[in-house]
Amino acid sequence: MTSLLAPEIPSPGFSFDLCQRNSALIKKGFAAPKAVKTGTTIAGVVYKDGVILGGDTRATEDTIVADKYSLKIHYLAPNMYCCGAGTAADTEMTTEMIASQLELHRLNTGRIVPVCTANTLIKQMLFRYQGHIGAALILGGFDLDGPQLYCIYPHGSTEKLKYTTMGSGSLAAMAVFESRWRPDLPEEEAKQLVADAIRAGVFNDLASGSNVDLCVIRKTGVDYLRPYDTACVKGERQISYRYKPGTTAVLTKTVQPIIVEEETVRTIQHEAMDTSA
Amino acid sequence: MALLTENGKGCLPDYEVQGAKKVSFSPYSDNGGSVVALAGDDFCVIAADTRLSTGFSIYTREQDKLFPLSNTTILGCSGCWCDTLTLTRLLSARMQMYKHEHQKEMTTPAAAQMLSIMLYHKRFFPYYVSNILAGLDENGKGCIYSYDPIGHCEKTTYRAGGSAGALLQPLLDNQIGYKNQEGVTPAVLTQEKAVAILKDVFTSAAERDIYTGDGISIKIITKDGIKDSSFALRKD
Amino acid sequence: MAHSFVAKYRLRAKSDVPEIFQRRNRDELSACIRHRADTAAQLTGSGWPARVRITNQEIADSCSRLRFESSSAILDRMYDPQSILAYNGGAVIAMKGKNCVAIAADRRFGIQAQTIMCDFQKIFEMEPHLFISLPGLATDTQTVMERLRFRLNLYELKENRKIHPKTFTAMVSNLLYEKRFGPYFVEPIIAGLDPVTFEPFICNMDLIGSRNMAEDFVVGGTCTEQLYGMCESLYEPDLEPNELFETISQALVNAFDRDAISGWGAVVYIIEKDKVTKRTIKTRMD
Repeated sequence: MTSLLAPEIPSPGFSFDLCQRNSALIKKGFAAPKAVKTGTTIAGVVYKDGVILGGDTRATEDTIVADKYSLKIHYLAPNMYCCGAGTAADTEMTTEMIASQLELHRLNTGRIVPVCTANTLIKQMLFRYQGHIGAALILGGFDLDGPQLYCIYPHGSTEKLKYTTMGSGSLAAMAVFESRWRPDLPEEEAKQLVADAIRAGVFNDLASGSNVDLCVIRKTGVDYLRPYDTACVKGERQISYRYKPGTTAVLTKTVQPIIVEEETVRTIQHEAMDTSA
Repeated sequence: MALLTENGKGCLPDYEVQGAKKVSFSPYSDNGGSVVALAGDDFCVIAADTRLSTGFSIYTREQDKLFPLSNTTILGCSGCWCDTLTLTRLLSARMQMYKHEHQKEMTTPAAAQMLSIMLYHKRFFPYYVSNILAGLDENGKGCIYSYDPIGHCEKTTYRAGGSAGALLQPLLDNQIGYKNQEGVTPAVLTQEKAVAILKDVFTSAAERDIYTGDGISIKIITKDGIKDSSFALRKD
Repeated sequence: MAHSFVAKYRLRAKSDVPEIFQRRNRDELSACIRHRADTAAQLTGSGWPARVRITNQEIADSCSRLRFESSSAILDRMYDPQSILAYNGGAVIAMKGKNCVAIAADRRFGIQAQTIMCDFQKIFEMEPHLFISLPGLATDTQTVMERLRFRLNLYELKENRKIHPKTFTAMVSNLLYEKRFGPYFVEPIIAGLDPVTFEPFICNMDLIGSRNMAEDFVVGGTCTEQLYGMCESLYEPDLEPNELFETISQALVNAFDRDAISGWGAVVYIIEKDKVTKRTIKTRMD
């Protein structure tokens, strides 16, 4: 029963209301549209003092670049970040949901959340959706057990690795890792290595491009370097295409002024927190 | 015959016809690439990007997609590269045969007509190529012919084709064709402006089309011959 | 089993059968079926056999998906004309200027190739400084707009303040992602000014709510390729409101002139701190 005082709380999770209508449309011969994919190169390595994650910044819709500077290294917790490849919306939403669960977990336990907790949360969620959530992730972080790096597939299988790559440019990036990675790399060298791996993807995989982002996670803190390197920039324009005013033929013009009728400022006095209870 | 009598009505028994199977092999591939051509009063410019790719990977970053057929005619091709190679090989052979037979080079309109016929000849197994033919006509005026894969031919003064054709064409409409502009008197297209616009449209296309990039090769056709130049694009 | 998943997701193969070849298949397919039917007819001696399960209608149905374009198949890589997003057609752009934003859309409402009306509203005012456009399937355009208006009203009643465009974008994104497995067929474009600082803000999304907050321009609709081509060439940062109007209008009009299912008039909003200017512009009507 819905009433004004007790509104019905909508059920959480996905809604399948439109599935029947959409499948009827598809049956009629209309093609289902494609979502934005982050045809991607993402990579991560474990080095001497922590973990470095890297990613390119191109999101594609079929053969067209939908976003030149998309963010692919997502925040999970203060000691944890996660690179995403696959369907753009899935990687974003999955990491956001997991991030909120991890924060609740941190508040409940009052400790630094272990990376394996995040890994388990993600893999359980992805397995529940049987691969229909198209998120391929690289999870990296630093906890009590030191640096951790996981590779998570859309169906929910995971691997714990020292270095890994994902996305359409993963082969190019892995080629760099296989030739140059070794245990206990110093930080600067490790950053160079990850950046080179991402650059290999940027230049050799058509679905990856633009910049190289890096995220260095160590015990002492996180360096989010965006961009670490602008691998490619737009070419210089030869001539300006600015038009003279009046080039476009206007039929009607209406101006709607925005008048602020009233402005009230209510200052909030600082009050000490009640700690008596 | 037992089958027929069994049923009693002279009909075949109830059975499923096995559906026609689609063979997974495709004789075509899409190797991308874009071509743009602009015609002026006494010249013609044609340019193509130099990236040859398949799927998400690059075959080469320096593939010239412009084929000079004579001193006054250049063909720009993009699409299925193997078809391009075959088509241009046959075309140059036909050009040579014509030269030996008639003791003169084939003119651009004649080459355009021949290309149309050669494409339509393969109507039911076409060359998967988007062609743009640029050159000077008998009077030395710039002319451009654009084609669909099965030989429809259209004469224009500016044209963009290939994987980024849709990105490039509207700007040419606006800047060369002066479409949708009020109070602007169309100026005669100069070589400098043509080349500048060419570079700009390719720079823009390379931003958004993943199959266009690396560089462009530009050929300017005038009565004095063909002048080559190139221009770098982004490589990602 | 994990291994096969690895292979599936690491190699993103794309099967792209050219349209022309699909037509060849169709011809061969129907020829093949007809041959089978003729043979069966000869065997039975009673004309066309009723029991051959694949009827010509079925062939026609299955083949209607294999579309054939006589004009350049390579050149024309727009939306699949049969795509649900391209059922009604439309073109939208939003652009950032100096202390202002612009949002522009065409005015056509059609059903596939047939134009129904030329004054269809595609840009909606959610706040004086916040506009949204939802190109895609027109029924969903209107439904999603109503739902957003409902959620926005609740937000303002609860919070008693104007919404920030970024917050509104999150609201749209969540609404769309909730329907991840049965989506609304709209690709929203949002343009607005920050209610406090009047900072310009633009954003677009795919149909399941993947956000793209751009620094220059965003486009949407059935001729995104043409729009991207125009915007990449014409856009300059920090344009004044009147210059921004010329740039966005020229980008829109020239792009949709190369799309058969958008156009038929256009409307441009320039949103500034103290006023919103709405202009309708003259375009080709064919």
